[in-house]
Amino acid sequence: MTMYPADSKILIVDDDAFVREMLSSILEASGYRITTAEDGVDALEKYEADQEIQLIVSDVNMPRMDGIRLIQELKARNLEVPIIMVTSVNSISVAVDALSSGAIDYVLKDEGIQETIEITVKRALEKHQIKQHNKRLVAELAAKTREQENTLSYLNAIIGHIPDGLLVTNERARITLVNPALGGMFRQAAGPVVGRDCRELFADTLGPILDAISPTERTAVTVQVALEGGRIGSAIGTAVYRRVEGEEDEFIGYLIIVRDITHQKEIERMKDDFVSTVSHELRTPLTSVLGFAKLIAKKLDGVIFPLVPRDDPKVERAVRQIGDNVGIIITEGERLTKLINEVLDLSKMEAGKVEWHLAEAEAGELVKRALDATAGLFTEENLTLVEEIDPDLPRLYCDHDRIMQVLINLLSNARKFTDQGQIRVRVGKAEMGGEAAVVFAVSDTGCGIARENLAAVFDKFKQVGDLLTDRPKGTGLGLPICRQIVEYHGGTVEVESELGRGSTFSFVLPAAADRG
Amino acid sequence: MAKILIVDDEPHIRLLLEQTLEDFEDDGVELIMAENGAEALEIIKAERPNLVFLDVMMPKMNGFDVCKAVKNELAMDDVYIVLLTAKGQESEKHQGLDVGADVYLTKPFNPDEIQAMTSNILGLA
Ligand SMILES: Nc1ncnc2c1ncn2[C@@H]1O[C@H](COP(=O)(O)OP(=O)(O)O)[C@@H](O)[C@H]1O
Ligand SMILES: [Mg+2]
Repeated sequence: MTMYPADSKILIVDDDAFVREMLSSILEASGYRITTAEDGVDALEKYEADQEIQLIVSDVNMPRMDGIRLIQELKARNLEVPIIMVTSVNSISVAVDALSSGAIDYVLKDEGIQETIEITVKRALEKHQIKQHNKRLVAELAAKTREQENTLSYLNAIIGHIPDGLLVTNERARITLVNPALGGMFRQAAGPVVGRDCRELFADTLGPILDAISPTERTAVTVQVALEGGRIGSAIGTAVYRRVEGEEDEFIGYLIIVRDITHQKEIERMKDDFVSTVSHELRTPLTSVLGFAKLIAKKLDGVIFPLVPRDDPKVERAVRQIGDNVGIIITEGERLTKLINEVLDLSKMEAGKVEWHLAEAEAGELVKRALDATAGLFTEENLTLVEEIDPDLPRLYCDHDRIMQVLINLLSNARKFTDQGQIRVRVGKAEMGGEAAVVFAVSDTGCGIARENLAAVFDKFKQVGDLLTDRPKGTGLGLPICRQIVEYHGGTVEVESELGRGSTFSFVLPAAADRG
Repeated sequence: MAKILIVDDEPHIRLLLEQTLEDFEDDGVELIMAENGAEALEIIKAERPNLVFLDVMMPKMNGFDVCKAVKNELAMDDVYIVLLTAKGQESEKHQGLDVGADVYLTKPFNPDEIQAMTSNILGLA
């Protein structure tokens, strides 16, 4: 605590000039600064005008306003200044009055006043300072408490209004806090739950999340849970740590947030239904269009055209054109079919709705099957197909049909964009993040892809259009699907290409982890 | 004499299948039509066709249920069932094979494939 300054300013109030003089000189000698007033009214004025005054030493009996009134007036004005009353020897009762009115002390006007005034002033200043200090402490404490209460009620208000359910437990899974939203989500949380074991109380909903959270790995766990009234929730749980200065963070419990995703699910389902309904509605007319076009083509070639006399060049041209036109209807119909299949496929994949059938596989075997399936494409004389399969490859764990789909896609692209030269399929050992892997690469000597278009070929509906003018148009969905499939398996796809010289599309799949 | 039952609620698809298969009539094969699942089931019970092309999404009774009734409840194993669906979802393919379908094809189908499949199943050259 800082001591009051030794040169504190003191206001001496007395109607007797002699007493004023005397007291002034005593206190001045002790180093105080002095100012004086002649009565209560004068004192009030002076005190109010001078902020430096720290103590008043006042006579009791004075004209206009006496000492007691002065105390009352100061109090009434909320002015907090200690007052020492100087009283006559024969009026002890006045001293008592003064003290009970709020004087900090009193001195008797006798011959000992010389010593007593000095001591009393010093004590009064000290006492006042301690009082002020205490008052400040109390005020600070009150402010702190208020601040904390504010923060707490602020946090409570927030937690109370979070639309997601919130549940917190201690490190032994005992519930320490839940918010109102959680109460609306679980029947078990409707009553008081603090102190209950989360694993027990929410045995088939939130409990299992705690077991899935590893307190050492700081990852959140997300689980779908059934909520009250047939609703669906997504619960995300995590371990909670308290930061401890200079030590490892302390594990203090679990936190679970539950969001009602019923509506989201409904929208997803509707989108899904929509895609499959549209696909169904398109397929039915397409079946007739494509089927009849094929029957027509067959009947034209087999029955009609042989009977048509070709002497007239007009007839000859019409026959040729009809044949071509039906052919176009068939190709375009097939492209439309492919588009429908691929849109359905891709939307399923993006929604995570594909059923994957994972099994061990031999990379070479998959490639051979893909080549068998596409054999019909490679009948052109000026196009050779080269296989290069490492006989000693690690085994894969994958969806056979889907990986075949990728290979067939890459092979038919290679064929589609290559007029002559070579298409080479290579399967070899590779590495992914230090682990064994298998790389599949399909290279061609075709038209290639310009550098600026390379990045886009894996995007939906992106086709490097200009190069395609004389080729059957594709859908632009083949490569995005390939990427989805490969990435689902934890692999990566890549393309290298040089315009006019050819392209290499490749993908790497991680080898099957050693089982058993 | 072999019998083929064609089941689809879409008249154009029935017509397409009929024209695709009409050459087999020269070999003495009889083509029968049905417009929905319930009718199909009655015909299958009465006529015991060798081969059924069966649409999945139909009013009254869907193809899955017809297939289940024929293969499980009636235990008519000798009726070869080709399910034809316009949905083309993989989960459905599994469902189709689960209810006992012999083959599962998605629309649009290729008439050539249908013809080849038919001569194979009926043992016609
Ligand atoms: N082997 C290739 N050579 C040159 N361009 C290719 C090759 N493979 C793909 N592309 C380009 O990438 C585009 C997207 O391919 P893809 O997604 O399979 O769709 P689609 O083949 O149906 O057009 C193609 O349109 C083509 O421009
Ligand atoms: Mg393609």
